[in-house]
Amino acid sequence: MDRIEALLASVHRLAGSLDIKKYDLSGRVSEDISVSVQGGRVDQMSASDSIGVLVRVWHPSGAVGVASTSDISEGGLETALAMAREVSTQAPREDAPIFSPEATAALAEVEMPQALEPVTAGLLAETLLRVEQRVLSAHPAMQSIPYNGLSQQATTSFYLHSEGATRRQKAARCSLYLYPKAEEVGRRGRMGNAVRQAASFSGLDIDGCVEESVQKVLSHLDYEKIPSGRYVVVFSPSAILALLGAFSNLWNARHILDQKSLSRPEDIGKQIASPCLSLSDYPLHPYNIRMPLFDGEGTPTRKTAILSDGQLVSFLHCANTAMVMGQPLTGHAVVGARVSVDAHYLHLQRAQSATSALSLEAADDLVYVDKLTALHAGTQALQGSFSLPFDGWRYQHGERRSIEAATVAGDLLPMLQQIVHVGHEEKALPSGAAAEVWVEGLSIAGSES
Amino acid sequence: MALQVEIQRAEKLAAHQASQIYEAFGESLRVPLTRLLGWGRAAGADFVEFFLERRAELNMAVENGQVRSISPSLSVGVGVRVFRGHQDGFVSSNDVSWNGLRRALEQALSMLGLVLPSGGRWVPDVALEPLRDYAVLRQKEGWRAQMPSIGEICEHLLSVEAAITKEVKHRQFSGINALQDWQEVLVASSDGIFARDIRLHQTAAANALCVEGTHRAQVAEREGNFGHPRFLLDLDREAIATALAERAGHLLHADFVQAGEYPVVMANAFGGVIFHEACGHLLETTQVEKKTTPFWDKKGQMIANEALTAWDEGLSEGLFGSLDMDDEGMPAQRTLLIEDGVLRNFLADRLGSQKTGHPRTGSGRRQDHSFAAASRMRNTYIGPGLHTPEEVIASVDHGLYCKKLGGGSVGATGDFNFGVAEAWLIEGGKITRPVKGATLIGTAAGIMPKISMCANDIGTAPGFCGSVSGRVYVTVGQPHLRVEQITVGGR
Repeated sequence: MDRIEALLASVHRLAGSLDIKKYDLSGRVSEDISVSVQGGRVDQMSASDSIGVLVRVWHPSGAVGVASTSDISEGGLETALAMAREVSTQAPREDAPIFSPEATAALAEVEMPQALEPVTAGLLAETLLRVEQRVLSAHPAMQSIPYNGLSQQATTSFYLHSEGATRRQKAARCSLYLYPKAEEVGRRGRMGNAVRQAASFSGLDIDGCVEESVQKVLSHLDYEKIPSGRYVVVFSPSAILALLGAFSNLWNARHILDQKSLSRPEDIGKQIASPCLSLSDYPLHPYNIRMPLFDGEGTPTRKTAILSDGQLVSFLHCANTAMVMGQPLTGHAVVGARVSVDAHYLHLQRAQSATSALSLEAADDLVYVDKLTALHAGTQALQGSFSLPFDGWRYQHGERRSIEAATVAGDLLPMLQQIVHVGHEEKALPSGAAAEVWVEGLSIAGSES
Repeated sequence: MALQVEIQRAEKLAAHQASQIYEAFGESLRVPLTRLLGWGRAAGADFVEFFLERRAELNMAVENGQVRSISPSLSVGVGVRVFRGHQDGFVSSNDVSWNGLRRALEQALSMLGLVLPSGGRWVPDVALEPLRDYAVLRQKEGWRAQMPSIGEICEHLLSVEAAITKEVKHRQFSGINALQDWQEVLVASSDGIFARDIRLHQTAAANALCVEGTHRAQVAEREGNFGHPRFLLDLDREAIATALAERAGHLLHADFVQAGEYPVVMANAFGGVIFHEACGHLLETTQVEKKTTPFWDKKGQMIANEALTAWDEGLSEGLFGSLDMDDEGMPAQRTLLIEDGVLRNFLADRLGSQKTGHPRTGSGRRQDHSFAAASRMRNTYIGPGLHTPEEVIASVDHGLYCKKLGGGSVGATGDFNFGVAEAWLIEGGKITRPVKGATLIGTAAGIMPKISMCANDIGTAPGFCGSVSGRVYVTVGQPHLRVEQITVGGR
């Protein structure tokens, strides 16, 4: 009996002894190892072995109490169950969670990574030191990589409930991120970034990460101010995914029901974006390393179209929101004191009917937003507005030059209608897959008016 | 033979005492930790540290007149850190049994190429100081018993939310989230530190969304406290509701600010987030050691306008960033950062001090046991000046009054940015009309000399700070102050 089997058996036994009839349990066991380097030396090596469990107990009235714990001893689990039962006596009955009707349905059959490659902190450190050397020797202006890390993580997610559901999934991930800094005499320091993930260390695209980070930071060395004004703005795949992610209340059924959203239940079917844009959540996308087979309630995950040719076609649901709104389950539950909803892996595509043809090389004057920063500070998710600093370039007659410092500002809903082009090529990233998105008439504020 | 028996007896005792860990962190851990620290040193580590943590959190949410969620969370864990030369290895685990502690030490040592001494070898114990127990010294043991029941808290939160509902016009949604975070920590390290503390942080954030036609305004207020068990029952419902209603009323139909360069007056209290982000982070040794701060070699030099003096400290009663000891067992201090524009001190944790040579300041902090401690701010504020707030505002002919700042961040190049939650135009030395959508952009080295006037009305506000060692509780603060010129992103 392994650690998780023992845990599940303990919970069943303890629930019986506490006379708890209806309950469920979800959690994750994780083992991580990571390193960072600085100036030719290992800066830190760290490892963690963690577990987190959330139990929910149903009161006979239908109300649900929750408690989470990282203490999986008999005493710790018993305390958590007893606490959840106690909370259930004071918890609201309205919108109480339900067991997912699909918690025992068959899961998708996908090829998952096998046993984790045995990788030591020493191997990760040696690799990252070599990477640092390559980056720093790429150009005389390269100074350091202030933020860097190479890590490997193995997780097991699990879910069970008192009526027989049992889910379990293993996943592994290896990640490399590099944020090198370069500076020329008398000029401002500039940074670039690149991130790579793979299911195993041997599959990690280290060369690609080095090359991308170096090219980006060097491209920002020759910078200039940009006059404030309205521009055509092209969002890189990572920038548009980050921006849409900040406004995820748009398709989050929980937030919509709670009136904490830019959408309303009756918006399904409305044309809320340019017809050239399609957006879905695609958990089992071949490039999604995590590839979750089930959500926090045990519901199987599946591809869910959110926008089709600019039309809002579905929200993302947990069991409760799907029941309340009379819509199909989508497998997006995030279990907590209140079950919420989140996307697994957004997939932004050019709509099949799109006919636009634009290119950076042919543009007269546009701004390319490569990376948005400070999204937590610069987005008003319920107001629908944003004003965000970014790293990027200005393209004028096919020539590109880095922008010194600027913000891009707008309102999300009008912006979605102002999309004039979605690129043909998609880029797969850790957070999702997307093409470039062109938007007309967004405000750019430079440091020179 | 006698020695072998003694070793076996000591190891059994250590294991037995570690099994008592759930009773309390304290003297019962002296023997096992003394033994483990001794093993770590004997393995060749220069320094070994155990950080044990037990935590009980309670999150509650009230929305639109209903209790939406009650969520208790319990956690326990250990972080083990080992230094050897300039390298360090860190391991965290939820397993605080004797075997778990031993395994974590073994893994941390192995990262540095070290192994535990073989069984049966005599290893000198590390002599720990008498337990420095701030929970006892500062009478914190009784806090949990003094905390109100879940029912009492929910009732009060419902009354606060009802006041918001009553006051705020065009309200589509309103809510209040509350957090109680009780934490017990124990630090034992091979330099003899053996210290225990209990912390109690509580915070409540009220928010509202107002909608009228196509106009939307999202407003929020946060309060926070350290060490007052019944804090959540003391939330002033009328004050919170009035503040939200006024701000929402101003912002609902406000125009967007025009982008450009403006002189800016920052209001007191949460306005201090700009100093926290733009300067405070750059005075942490985590930045100094990487030379990612323009101030790394400027100690003793003028880095700011002479109108500016700033502090970081952990001593102020009840402030959100206060602590009796840091997460490396060092007693809290008051640290003068900048005096009349001159850089006086950096904020240093143990490793930062070792790497940079700057003295430790009791600033080693971490979110929880799964993070290694790093130099972090506590209560950070700009000291008061001689002017009145009215004089500061009147000194600006055409500029921006940032009455309420939102969050912000600073990058490794020193570039910072802040969202402004509530902004007003200043015209002819007077505050005239509200504007929205403002973001302040600049560089730390650029803005510090431009803070040219400080008023006499210092205020503080609670906040969360996310950085290399996770999210920690902090206070920001300042009086009203004037910045000569700053880039404002808008429309």
